[in-house]
Amino acid sequence: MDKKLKKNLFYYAASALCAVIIISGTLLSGKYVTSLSDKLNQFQTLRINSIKMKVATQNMRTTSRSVLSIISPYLKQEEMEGAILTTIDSIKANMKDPDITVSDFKKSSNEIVLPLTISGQIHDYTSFVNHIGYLQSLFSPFFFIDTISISKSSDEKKDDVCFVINGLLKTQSLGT
Amino acid sequence: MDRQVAISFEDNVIKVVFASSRKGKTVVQRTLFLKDEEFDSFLKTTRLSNLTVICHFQRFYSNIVSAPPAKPAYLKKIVEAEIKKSFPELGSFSLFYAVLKEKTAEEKGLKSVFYFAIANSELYEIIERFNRHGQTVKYMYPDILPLSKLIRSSDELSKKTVLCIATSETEKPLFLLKNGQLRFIRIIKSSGKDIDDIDVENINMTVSYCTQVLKLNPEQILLMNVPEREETDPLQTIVPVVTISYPSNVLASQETLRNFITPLSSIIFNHDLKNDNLLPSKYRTLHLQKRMAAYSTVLFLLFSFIGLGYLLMNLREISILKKNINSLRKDVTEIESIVPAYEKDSEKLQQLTPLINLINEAHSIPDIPKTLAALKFLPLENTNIQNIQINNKKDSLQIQIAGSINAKNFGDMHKIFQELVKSFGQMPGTAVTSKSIDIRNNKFQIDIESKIL
Repeated sequence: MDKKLKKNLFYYAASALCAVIIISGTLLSGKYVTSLSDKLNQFQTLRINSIKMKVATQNMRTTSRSVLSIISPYLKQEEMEGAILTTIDSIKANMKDPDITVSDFKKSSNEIVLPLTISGQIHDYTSFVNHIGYLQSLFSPFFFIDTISISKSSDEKKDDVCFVINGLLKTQSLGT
Repeated sequence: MDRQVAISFEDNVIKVVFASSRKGKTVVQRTLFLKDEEFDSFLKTTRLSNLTVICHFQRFYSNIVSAPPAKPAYLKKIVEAEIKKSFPELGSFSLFYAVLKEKTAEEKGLKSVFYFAIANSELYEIIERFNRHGQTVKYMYPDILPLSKLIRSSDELSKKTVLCIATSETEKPLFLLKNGQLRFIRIIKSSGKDIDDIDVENINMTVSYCTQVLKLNPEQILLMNVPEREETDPLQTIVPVVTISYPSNVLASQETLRNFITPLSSIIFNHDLKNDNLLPSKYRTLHLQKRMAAYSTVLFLLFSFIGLGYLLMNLREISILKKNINSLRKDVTEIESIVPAYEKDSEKLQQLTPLINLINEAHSIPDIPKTLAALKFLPLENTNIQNIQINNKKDSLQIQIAGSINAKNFGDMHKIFQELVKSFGQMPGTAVTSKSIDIRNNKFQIDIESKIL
């Protein structure tokens, strides 16, 4: 074989081998870079999520603390029933003996509801409005007003104004 | 700029011309006369690119043959077959051929082809000398071929039939050209560079041969590389003798042109000569293989460099990424303590969620006392409210007010009712949804929607 061709072929083979090794190395390192980038992204996501979780944990603690500071949750149904009945007594006392009609307790898992009707006469409109405000401001059990009816007596000689409040007292246990 | 080197083997001297061509002009950069013994060291020390070799072959085979009309590729095969038939002793050979322009009467339909063939063994002897020193020959021609192109390029001589003489110390090649195409070649012995009486006799005999045998009448005898003779001593030839005028597009002295006309012609007519290259096809293939291997090597090296660049970039990136990952990995231990705390608090909050929903529900309903208070401050003159019905619709209150109007006449009643509707409509956060009045008993009903929170 021609000397120069032999030399050229040797350089050709050597350069081809070199190119194959380097290009393979480049491709492999490229893939490795991609996998490392993915891993880094996962770590970064993990870190961001951990910060979010930290903040969320903090928020949850604050919320729980706030809720528990507002109301003391009942653990048993008996406690809830007692609380509702006590509240009815309070309403009676506060609204100066209105007629209160209650029906049966409605119980579902952790919730107890007692529908009731409060009726009576309005002697002073401002007091009546304050009583409504009082009912709406009740906390554990809560008073949910469905309807309020205010009507004048049909007898024109009488100046009586009656009211009927339909609503329900509702409370919730922690369910443990 | 096309740089070329032409080496011409003439007598015992080797002539070397370094020249470059640009826009039809040829500039001679360097010329050398080398003795045969100096040539090897010259090849060893000089880098020669685009190399053309011109040789004066001792043994060659040339003639004119008739060939049927065929495409150039087939025509070459036909000519080769003809040569093999005529000279069976000739082994492998290289050739160039030219289809002659005119045909004889009896050769109508056939092509006259002039060929010039050389045994490859002879060509390899020359090539080997270059190979030994790593020099690659690109083109190889017999000396008469570039000289014939010189005549073909001349406007004055190209149409004529001329007998050309290239003189040297040992031999004088005579070659007949018609229309610038080679027709006949003859080598005569020479006793010196000048033309003596014996040469004249040989020339005259050749002219007679051309006239009688080839039926071609040389109009002139053309001296290719001989100084112009004085008119007092003209040559006694049967046709007039003229000296060739050298091409004007070569930037070189007259002496250089005369001494180096053969290698220079190969440079000047490089493009016309390419098809007549005598290099054996095997050598050309070898040359092609060498070039391909060299170019491929360069290409692979280029790929390697580019790849290496990318590889280094990737390695740098890998080191940065690993560093970042390691720093983030340290935070994982901290994360491990966050998850249970999150889960615990989440579970706790889950338990409180119904309670929270209940609180939210209780506080999302409209403010009934505010609405009732607003009703108190409405101007309700001449109006007797009988009944107020409030329905809690979670996001709003539906209030129905019914009563009667104390009015003297219908006009007043209508006016009072409109005033009443207007005052209800002006209450902030409320809108009157429907209204009606019964004019027979002065009773009215107004429906209001309140969104006071």
